[in-house]
Amino acid sequence: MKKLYRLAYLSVLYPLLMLIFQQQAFALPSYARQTGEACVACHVSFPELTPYGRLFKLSGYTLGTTQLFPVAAMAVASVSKVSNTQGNDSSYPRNNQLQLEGGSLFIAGKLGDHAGMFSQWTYNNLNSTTQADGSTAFNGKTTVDNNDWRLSWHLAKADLDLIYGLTLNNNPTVQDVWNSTPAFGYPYQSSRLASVWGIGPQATLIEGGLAQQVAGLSAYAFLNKNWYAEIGSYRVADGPFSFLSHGVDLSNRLSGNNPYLRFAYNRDWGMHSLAVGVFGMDAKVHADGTDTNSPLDHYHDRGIDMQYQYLSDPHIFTTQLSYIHESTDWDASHIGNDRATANSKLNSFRAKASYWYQHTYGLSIGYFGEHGTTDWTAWSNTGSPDTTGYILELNYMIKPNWRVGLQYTGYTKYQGASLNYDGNGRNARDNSTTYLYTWIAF
Amino acid sequence: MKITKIALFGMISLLPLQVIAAGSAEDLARQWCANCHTADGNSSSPLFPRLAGQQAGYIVKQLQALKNHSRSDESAHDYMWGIAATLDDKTIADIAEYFSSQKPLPNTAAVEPGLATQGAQLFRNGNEAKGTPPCMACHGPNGEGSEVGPRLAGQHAAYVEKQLHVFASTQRPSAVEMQAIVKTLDDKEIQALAAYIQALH
Repeated sequence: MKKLYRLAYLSVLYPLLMLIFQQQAFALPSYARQTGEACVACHVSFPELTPYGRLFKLSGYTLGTTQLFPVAAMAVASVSKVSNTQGNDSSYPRNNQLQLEGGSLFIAGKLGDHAGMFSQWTYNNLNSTTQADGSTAFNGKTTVDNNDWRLSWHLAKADLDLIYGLTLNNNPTVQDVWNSTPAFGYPYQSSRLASVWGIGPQATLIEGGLAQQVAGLSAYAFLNKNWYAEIGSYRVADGPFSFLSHGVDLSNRLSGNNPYLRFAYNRDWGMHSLAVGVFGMDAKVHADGTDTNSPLDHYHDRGIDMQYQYLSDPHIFTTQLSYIHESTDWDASHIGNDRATANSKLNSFRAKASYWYQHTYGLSIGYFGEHGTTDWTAWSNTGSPDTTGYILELNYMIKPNWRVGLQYTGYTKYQGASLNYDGNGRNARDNSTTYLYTWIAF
Repeated sequence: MKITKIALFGMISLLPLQVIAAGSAEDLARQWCANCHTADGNSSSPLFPRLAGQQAGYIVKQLQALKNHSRSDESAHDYMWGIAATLDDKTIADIAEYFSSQKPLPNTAAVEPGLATQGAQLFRNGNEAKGTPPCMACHGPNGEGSEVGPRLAGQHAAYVEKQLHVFASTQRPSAVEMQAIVKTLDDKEIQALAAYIQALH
């Protein structure tokens, strides 16, 4: 019966979508339809923004003409292959098989001269649950994804240029316009299966730990296209804000209001665009995400970031760096249980450089390294969370809105060791993952 | 959390304000055009042409050509078609007036001196043997432009070079004279002219 519904739904939706999208398509296509501009106006490669893309976002997505259906969609299909299953194939389901990962629907566009939105809803075809017998079951699931709703104003006089506004969003840094902060940082596309397999770098809280778990409101100002300042506050996305966490289990439940700060200096000259900045957040997180009376852990995340872009025709070179220092004060209930010390540190360093030729052929090289406090309780095999590795990626744009990528994520150290990090003979490099994907937006 | 609720309410209640008409052409120029061309029209990135001091008639003609898609080079299509489509004739005239009255600043980007000297020769005297007329005949002795030719002085070399190649195609059909002239130029001469023009002020 459910299948019938889906079929009926699709048979109505598909022709409707085709009607809406019969204009030439770009990425994010609904913004392109709104401004009449091509993807390359705003993107080096989705989602990395050009200087114009940054101003479009800071202007609250309001440039252009309000569309009747500000709707866009994207879909991803891929093959992921882990380097070594050690003969335990059931722990790596769907390894080396073509998968339809799922897709997103975007409601994104100008609502008025001072209001605009970016609202992404994602269907994850590889949503996994672990069965009683230890096997993994997959089923499709639709959840909210990144949201950024804005109000903005622009004072533009001969001696003053000030863009200012408010953003309501559900992922700290998703509102940021430089791709050196976590939410829209590199890798821009990564294997969903790798996360099903439990493979991934360590991450500080601000690197996705609060994504679609929180509702945040911040006020921002960009002065003379040089100085950016933002101050905001995040809370758990429940009650009237539960749409911002729709379908997502609250694993990191915030308590009260949690401050977020961001400052950056930006300069565009000739073919160059440079930004350096700092960002930070303090977060009080319930030790048990399902219990609002559970004690609190205090996270203090401080980041410093840099982005440089060289934008010419046909050569584009871009690089991003970020360093995040996290200090966490753990509630006493953790001590001796899953933590050895009352305070621990985790430092996350990320770097990436890309070269694009004619917006069509791309090569990216990334590095990630996380180093943290020695803790034999949290990391019983190695005493360390330290994880390091690199990403190599080749891209080809079949069309401006259709990308294929071959990405290799190589681990040189995993959860504290290069060799035998789990005590069962698994080496860091066994987790290295090859990911071939195709991404299309329309 | 009261503050968030109030702010959210504020955001929603502001939405109907969209009916308030957009500002003047000058506001539009400063808020939208400025994102690439800068507010005073002296764009910094060579991806985007400088508009400061440009002949108003030329800006009008180009915006109309971008609006009706008769100008179809890649950048025109990628960046300008959609924007021009939103502009009515009055706004186009006002934007042209705004940018033409901005003060053009010298383009300080480095050029190869030898190249610029060669370009100067062509710009001033043309090349009779190959049938290249002097550029200054239409574009003015200092590249300031005239009724019949746009301002060139200080324009980004990369942009001039790109457009000269575009003239060799059919993507700018209204530039009849340039389509013929560009056939008399080789790549080296195009580079030389672009370098000289960028340094002109």
